Amino acid sequence: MRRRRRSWGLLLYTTFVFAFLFAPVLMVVLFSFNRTASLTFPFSGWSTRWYEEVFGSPDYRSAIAASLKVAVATVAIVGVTGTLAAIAVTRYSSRAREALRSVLLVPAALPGLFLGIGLLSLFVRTHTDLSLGTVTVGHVIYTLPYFFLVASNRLLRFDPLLEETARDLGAGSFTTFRKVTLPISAPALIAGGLVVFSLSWDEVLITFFTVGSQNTLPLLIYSRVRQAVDPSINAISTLLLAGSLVFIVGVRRFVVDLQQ
Amino acid sequence: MLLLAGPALLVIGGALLIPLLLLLMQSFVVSLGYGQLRYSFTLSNYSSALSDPVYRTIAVRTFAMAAATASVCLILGYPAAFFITFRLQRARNLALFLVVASLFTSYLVRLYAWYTIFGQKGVINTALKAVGLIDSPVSFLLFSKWAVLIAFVNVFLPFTILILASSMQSIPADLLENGRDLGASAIQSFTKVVLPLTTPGLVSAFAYIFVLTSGDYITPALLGGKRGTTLATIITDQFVAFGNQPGGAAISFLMMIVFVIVYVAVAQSQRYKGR
Amino acid sequence: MRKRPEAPSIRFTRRELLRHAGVAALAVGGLPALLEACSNSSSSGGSTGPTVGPSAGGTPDISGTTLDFYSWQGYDLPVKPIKEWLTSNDVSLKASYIATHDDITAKFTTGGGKGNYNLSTYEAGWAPLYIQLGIPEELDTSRVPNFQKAYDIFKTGEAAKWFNVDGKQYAFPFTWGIQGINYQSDVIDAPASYRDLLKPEFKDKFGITDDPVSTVVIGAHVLGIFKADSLYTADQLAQIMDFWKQMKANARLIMPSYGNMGDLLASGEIIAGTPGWAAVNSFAADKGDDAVKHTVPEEGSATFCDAYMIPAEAQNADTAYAFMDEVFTPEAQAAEAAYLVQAAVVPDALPLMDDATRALYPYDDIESLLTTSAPLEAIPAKTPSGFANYQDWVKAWEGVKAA
Repeated sequence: MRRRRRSWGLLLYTTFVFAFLFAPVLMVVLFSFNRTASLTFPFSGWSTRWYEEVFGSPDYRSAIAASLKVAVATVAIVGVTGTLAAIAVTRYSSRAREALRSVLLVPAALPGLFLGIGLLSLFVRTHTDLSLGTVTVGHVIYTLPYFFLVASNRLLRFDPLLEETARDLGAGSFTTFRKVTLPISAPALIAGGLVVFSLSWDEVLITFFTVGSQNTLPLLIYSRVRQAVDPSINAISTLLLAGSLVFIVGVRRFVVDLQQ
Repeated sequence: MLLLAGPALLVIGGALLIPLLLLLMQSFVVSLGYGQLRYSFTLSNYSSALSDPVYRTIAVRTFAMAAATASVCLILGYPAAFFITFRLQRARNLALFLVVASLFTSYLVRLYAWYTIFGQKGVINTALKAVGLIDSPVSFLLFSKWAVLIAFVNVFLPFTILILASSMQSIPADLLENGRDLGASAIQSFTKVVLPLTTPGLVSAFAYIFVLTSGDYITPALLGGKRGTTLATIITDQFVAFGNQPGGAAISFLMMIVFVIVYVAVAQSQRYKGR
Repeated sequence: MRKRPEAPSIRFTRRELLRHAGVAALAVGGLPALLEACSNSSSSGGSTGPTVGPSAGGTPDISGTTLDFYSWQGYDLPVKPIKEWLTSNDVSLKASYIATHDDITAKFTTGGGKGNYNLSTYEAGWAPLYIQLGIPEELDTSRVPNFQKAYDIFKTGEAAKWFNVDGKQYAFPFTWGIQGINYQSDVIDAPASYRDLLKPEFKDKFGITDDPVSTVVIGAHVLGIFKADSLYTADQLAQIMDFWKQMKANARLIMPSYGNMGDLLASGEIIAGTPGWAAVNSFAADKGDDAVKHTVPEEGSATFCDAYMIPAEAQNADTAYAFMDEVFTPEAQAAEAAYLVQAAVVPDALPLMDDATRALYPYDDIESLLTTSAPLEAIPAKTPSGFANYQDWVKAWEGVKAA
């Protein structure tokens, strides 16, 4: 019989850890409502002016649009290439699989700085204009390993017998993929896509090197933080936080329904 | 298989391998400043990077901070991961979700929040003053290596907890219980069962955090004050301020060597300890 | 190279610097051809000849044209007189902003900016390099008659030499400023000397701005070795940097920008900052701190003076000339001074300014200030051997930052 162990010490400790993890988040949300332009304690009073600033400011709007474009493009490209690679890995022999896995995980083993300077050098040498497209390339290479990790972990548990059965029954490869593989692996792929989206959305280290004249949202925030900063960055961050939470919860419900 | 893996491999080849090769080539070429290169082979980029005492000090500082960050993350994260894995049942997924959720706020904005917390008029100073522990605000909490360390740990701790929890989850809980039933003490079941089985996760996490922290040029710049320069800052400056790609590339590859050493050490240790 | 508060929609155009790394030569090789082309498109020399333009005689028709502007945010002068001028002349202004002065250098050499912009600026000290690189077009002073309203020092005096070289006008100076120390006036009195910041009472309480040009100039002033041609030997540069290493040892941090200094003063993280800038007073005031002030210590200050130039190969130079002429009207100058928190170049603008703006800069003293006590200084891009150039300055400064 399994005894439930009580560890009040560990519980207290873990609570403190969570408090530490969320302390900055709390500050961010709190000061997004600050009445004055200061980010210094104490809190001066409640106001939504920074939210208005974010919605009304053309700089923010264009930066958000840019980040959105890049994130969506990244998810699309990584989704396709990563899914195919994940399927390849779950299908084939051990040695090839391990080799492929290792190669696909390499970008995650390097600091974003290296990815950024590498790409910058490449673009300079090939006389490629820097733009949101070049930013997307950076995001793709950065997020591909993470998508692959998430997707392949789940796909590994997927029973290949199901596919074989479908094929034995006469279905072609593509039909098998469409009617068997895809629906079953959908949750994994969606999870992967979410990871890619949020990674791309917050990426600044690599983007700094590959961006042209159009700012993404993190770059806009970065330039503000280095100049004169105000709680508008808190406002946009809180909005994104709220948005991601709602989105994730929504997607989980959807996926759970799918599985049923 | 190649057809399936092809696109991904193309991406990695084109967006990672080729750029890095290019960078490697450029590290052996002479820089004339402002982005101009003279294509003659030279080792001067490497030799000047290695012989510059300033770079050496900064290298030590950078790697020390990286190692400290990784260590603190593991030490702080381990008990939390243990608690979540072995002491929570229904709350486990929620707890893990919360761990991840703490990362949903923008990295930069979270960074700036430390000003609000550690500043002269920040939360901590205000609290300490109110309680009467200090008369004038402490300044070492901001623009110091402590601020940088705390900020880094805050960023990498969630990941640490997730990795550790994941490696702990693969330990069947029965294993622990059986150990207890057979008379092993709590400490023993920990050191003889849990710790060895989670060591691979620990070691990988250490390497990963070490490498990523070394390459972060933003947190030290914003929170490090006088000591805000790291190897990453220097590389960034070489590329962006000086137009000296060869110099920047040389330093990058020297760093890469250190990373490779760390990863190889990890791989070796797993060969001995892995089961 | 002082760093201005950057526009949020900042262009990280340093990328352009690296874009053509494969290309060997700078435009230096093409300089003679460039100057040839320049002198063909603008009329000769600077007096009152007839204007050159598409329509015969009189002012050219610029309605419907665009001003393609590339420079610091703020220098596109979003102030009332200029906005009205743009509307009434049906001229649209498209602005791209820079992060540092190097962006201008890059843009108009290898960065593909030639022919794409008809208005830019350069700071006095960059004149020798820019003229050598063929960046500014030679200008026709008769097309900017309002410039004659400026103080003599900018037209024929000590300051003019950066804009009028060998009888050719390359730019029209429209604003200037001085950089000393910003400080929290309700906590301390104005520091009398830069060395005051080395005292124990300032330990861990002041910031140093990350500006390699201003720090070298100020350091030279402090050590008494200041030279307006900015030719310092490697030894002198090392001495200057030693001074800054001492300063840094006593400082709290090195600040990434002047805007950041405003924030830090307002939040109490520092009580002083140098190199300073009068505009920082306004930045701090935006954060609710009205007590930040700027002072010029006894050793002197770093001075800057920015001027409008028309980049070589620009289209629609007529529009640029018309804009520049408008800039030197007293109304525009007064509005500009208030907006930029910098100094004006036209004396008639003074009565139109509010007291606070007028008090910011010592206009009474402008001759001696810009000639002796705080003259404009060169950016030493190319120097005779034995002297440190700009890249050496930046590298030496990095050594200080890293120490």
